Amino acid sequence: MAATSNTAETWFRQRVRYPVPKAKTLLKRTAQEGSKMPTRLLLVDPDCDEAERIVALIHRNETDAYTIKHAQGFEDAEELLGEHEFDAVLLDLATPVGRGGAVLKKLIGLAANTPIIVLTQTEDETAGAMAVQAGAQDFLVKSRLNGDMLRRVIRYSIDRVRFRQDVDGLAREIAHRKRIADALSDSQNRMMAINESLFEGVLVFDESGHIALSNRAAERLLSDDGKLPSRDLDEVLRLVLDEQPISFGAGPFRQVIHEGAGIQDEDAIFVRGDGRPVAVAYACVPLMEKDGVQGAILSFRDIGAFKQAQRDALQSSKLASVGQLAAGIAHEINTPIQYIGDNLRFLSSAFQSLVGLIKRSEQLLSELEGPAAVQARAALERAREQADADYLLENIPAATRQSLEGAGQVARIVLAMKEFSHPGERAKAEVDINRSIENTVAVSRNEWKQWARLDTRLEENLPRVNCLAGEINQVLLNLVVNAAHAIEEADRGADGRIVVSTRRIDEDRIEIAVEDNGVGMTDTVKEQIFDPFFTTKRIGKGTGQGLAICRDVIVAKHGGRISVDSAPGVGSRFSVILPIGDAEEGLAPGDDL
Amino acid sequence: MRKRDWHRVTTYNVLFVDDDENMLAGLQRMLRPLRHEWHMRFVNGGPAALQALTEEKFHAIVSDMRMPDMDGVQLLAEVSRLYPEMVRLILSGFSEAESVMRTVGPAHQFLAKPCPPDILIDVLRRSMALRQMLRSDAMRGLLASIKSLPTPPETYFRLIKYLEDPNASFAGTAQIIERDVAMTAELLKMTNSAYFALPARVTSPLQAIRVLGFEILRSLVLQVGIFQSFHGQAKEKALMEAVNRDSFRVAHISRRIAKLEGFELARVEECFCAGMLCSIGALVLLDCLPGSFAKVKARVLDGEDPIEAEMAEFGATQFQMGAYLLGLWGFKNTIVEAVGFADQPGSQPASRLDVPAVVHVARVLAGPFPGFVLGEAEGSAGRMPLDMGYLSQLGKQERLGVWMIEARQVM
Repeated sequence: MAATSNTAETWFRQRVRYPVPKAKTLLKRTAQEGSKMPTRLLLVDPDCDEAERIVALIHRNETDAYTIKHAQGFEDAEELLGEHEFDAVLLDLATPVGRGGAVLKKLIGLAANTPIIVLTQTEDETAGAMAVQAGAQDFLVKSRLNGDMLRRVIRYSIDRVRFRQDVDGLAREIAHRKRIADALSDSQNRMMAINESLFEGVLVFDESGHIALSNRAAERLLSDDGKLPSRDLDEVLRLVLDEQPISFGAGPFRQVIHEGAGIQDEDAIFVRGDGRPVAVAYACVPLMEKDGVQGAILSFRDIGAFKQAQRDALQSSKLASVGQLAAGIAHEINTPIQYIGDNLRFLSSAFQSLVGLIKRSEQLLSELEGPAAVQARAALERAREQADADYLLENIPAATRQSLEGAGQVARIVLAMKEFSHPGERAKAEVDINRSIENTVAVSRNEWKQWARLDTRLEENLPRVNCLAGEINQVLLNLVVNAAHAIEEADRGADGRIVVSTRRIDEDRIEIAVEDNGVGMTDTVKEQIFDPFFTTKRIGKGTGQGLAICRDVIVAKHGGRISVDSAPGVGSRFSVILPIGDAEEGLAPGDDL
Repeated sequence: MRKRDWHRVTTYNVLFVDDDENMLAGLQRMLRPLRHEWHMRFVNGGPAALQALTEEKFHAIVSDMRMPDMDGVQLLAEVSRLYPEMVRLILSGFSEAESVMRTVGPAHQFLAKPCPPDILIDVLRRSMALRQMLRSDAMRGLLASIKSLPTPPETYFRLIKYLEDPNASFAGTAQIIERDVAMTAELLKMTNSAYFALPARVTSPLQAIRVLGFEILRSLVLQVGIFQSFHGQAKEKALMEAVNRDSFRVAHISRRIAKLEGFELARVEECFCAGMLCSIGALVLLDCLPGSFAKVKARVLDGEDPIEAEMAEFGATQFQMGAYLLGLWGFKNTIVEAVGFADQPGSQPASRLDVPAVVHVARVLAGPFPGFVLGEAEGSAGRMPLDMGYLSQLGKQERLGVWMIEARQVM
């Protein structure tokens, strides 16, 4: 599992590239650096003469390198700062408004990113140091000022502030990038977790049908041990089209990659690597990457249970409508059968009476004497021959008897059909399995009579079994019809033989066995016959559902067992073991009073 | 001369109704040999049947189910209203459970087409013979018009509630039903009807439920309403509950004696069934004629023999009435006879100990009938005598001691 997760992770790392943000020019030099823009200075000094001296010191002889505005007090400075941009502020701490420290703080507040250089009175170095602590970039003692020093301090201060700003920007950028990276990694982990926990199986494969990614659901659905047998799609699954599993190269998945258009199918079949078919709904969409379609994503889910429910519903609605039909037909047939029977019995007894009458007449005639009597006897003899009387006397009773048998047969089949279909019965009840078998044999006669003789060996006094009568009948019918088909395939001629037998195994179980001397099957076939969709019959003959339904009815719905013994060319014996069920008995008589 | 006398005494008039002329003609031909035994008329459709009934008296009617104008259920309901004492049978090819269940009320028995003639003839002969069992026309009318029997409300609702439980079991359902005379009778009647075409008749509620399954049982109970909750007075309700308990006791004593005497399983179950159902007649009286029943009770408490008191009041014993009802409903002859002669089995010839004798002994050993004597009996009031002559004729009088010990274990 870890290996595949790693594969998935690697795959993600390969595919999901960090979206690199358009690099802002982080260390963008100020316009001043590259060009000849003058350095803009604000000089705050209450003493105009002092101010002039300082301006002169800064300018020396390059007047266009600096533009300097002078403010006499804080108000002027505030106004100028609002109107213009400055690269640096020179502040005489001896400004008259309040203590210089307060003015410094206010200026820092007004121009946070503009370096402030404090000018102090003679020897007042303590004040200068305090000003630097408060946020000024540097301090100069007025009495020791000279031009070079001033210009150098101004330039360094500006550079220092700019450098600090750059560093702050970088730090922010780094933090920002880290947040993005974290978010990406979280999202990637989340993607992986989602992919792994998806109920749907997901496979990603490339143009050559090589699987790049699979999730747990896919591995579970496509193999018994949760490990894909190979990274080659063809060895993992093949799609069934027109009842044939087809390879990746010839199938629609490759077309998805080639044509860049997705496909989906709500009702398809995959054949797994181990050959087992799985009913699935799937979607296959192209995987678009920068350079175009790189592969395809196949997502699918097992719809076996859903199909089963659908088959059940269809089956029971089929049974119900057959049942209703049977009940209606039964009514239509039963009335005529009643009077056909009544009339035949009447004819039979009436004929006996007439025969008695004729015999009596003949006897009376034979007792008469005289020529008239002789003549009459001769005439009667001729009349008898003309009427073919001997034949009639012999055949009329046989005709009525056989007709009655036929009517009885029809009545039995109608009853069997009615009982077989069990209209609308969905709850378990105690069923006489022997009778169910007789009904099944009666209604399926047409299916086997051409190929085989069918014998029943039903144990007398077989206990009733608590079961779903309609569904058990369906199983019996399936087994009998399968047996007939197996014999048909073996072409046994007059020797085809099906034996349906019942026996009680023990206190709790009975066995129903359906044996045939048909084609039989190999062990490989035997292993698969109860799988849905498996069929050895030619197209149109079997849906591959019959035995899967049988297994579902017997195992899932009744807690029984269905198995088969078979040898190729010899025949098969299907055994159904059913629990008698409802083991709870009424209270022992007399114990509960 | 002799023939005409016989004819007059035994004439039994049967009306056959169908909408198919061929069917009627076929029946007529088939039943022709019985023309000296019965007077039969064959009419086409419900209205013609009602017309025929105004022209002459009929004892039994056999009707098809699905007919235009008026179907079999409607016809029989009307017949039941106008001529309550008539025996009403359905002979139908119709086989949907729903429509068969509709016949539960108005029809006494349901026969399926195609019906072999001997079965039809047997059913009619039995209904004719039943008249010997119960000679009072009034009582015959009362019993034939009964559509359902009363169940004490507690039992009834316990069953309804139990059936709504998805985990309900066959055995659990049977345990509720088998303690109630009315439910037992109704359920067995339904299960043994020709619709379910059972190869052998069932005699126990558990068997019946297993054969029917829950789906049919639920619709019978919840939709068709084959069981009815008793609506009468509290006093009668208490009596009814006592009768049910008593019947269950008689059933158990019968079963124990039958086992002790080595009866085969089927006959053991028949003994249980007949023991349970032998008070069904009393239940009908309690439900339909509570006033007369109270009078009988007063006479019995005055020391009169219960059988004589019943004969005086109803012209029949409760056992005869019960047997008549069970016979109408198509119960096995063994059970009908065992119930009908529970007071004096000796009136029927027998060569060996059989169901009637066992039920008789169990009935007597279970004590006085609680419908008359509630609680500990005072002296011999309400006690029925054992038919000692009959027991000695069977050579079983010395078994009595053992049976009494068995009975005491149930008490």
